[in-house]
Amino acid sequence: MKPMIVITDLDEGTEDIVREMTDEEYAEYEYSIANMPPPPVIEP
Amino acid sequence: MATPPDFSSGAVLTAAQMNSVGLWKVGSTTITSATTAVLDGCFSSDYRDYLLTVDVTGGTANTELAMQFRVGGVAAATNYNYGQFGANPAGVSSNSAPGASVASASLTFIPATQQNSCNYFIGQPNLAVFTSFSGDWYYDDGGAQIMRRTIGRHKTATAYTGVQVFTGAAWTGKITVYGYRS
Repeated sequence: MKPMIVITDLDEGTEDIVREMTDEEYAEYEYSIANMPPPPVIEP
Repeated sequence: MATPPDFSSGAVLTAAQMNSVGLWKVGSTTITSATTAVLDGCFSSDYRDYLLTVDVTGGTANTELAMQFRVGGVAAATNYNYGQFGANPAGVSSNSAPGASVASASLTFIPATQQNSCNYFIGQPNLAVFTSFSGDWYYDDGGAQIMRRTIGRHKTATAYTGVQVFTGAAWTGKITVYGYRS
């Protein structure tokens, strides 16, 4: 099962759409997650 | 004279009074156990700069939370340039993690069991110029109290009409966009 996405389009004026990502959206999502820079290293 | 708008009970508001409202809610999206919250149609020529609030009421795993701008129903996945600064007030130490032309703007970290809120300034997203963004977040990382700030710019000169906030694990909360009248 692919990750879920919630879409609100104010121009369309429709209710929120909740669905699984499409193959294209999932590929972009995976790419974005994989290429996210590391967070700051904060030593306690 | 009171600073306008100076509303009184039962008064009919004029266009001039309404047009003087400085911050206006454009729209919001509520997300429940999903990874990505999309708000399309929130950026327009009505406003130049915007405020994005992100409210997290629950997560499912430790994850980063990131943002991408959208146009035509598609997220822009390149050219985000930004830096982050974190500080632990107990340990008085900090560092930064710059992102240069990366796929998204990482905004902060969401621990799995926490509830947090933050706001981000977004500058000129609907103009065909670079889009600026900056914001702050506070969270508890394994007992350490962490303050974190993101400052950056999306270096693609495109007029965006939407935004999405996403994580690597499902979360629950709400994103809301407000327009600043200039």
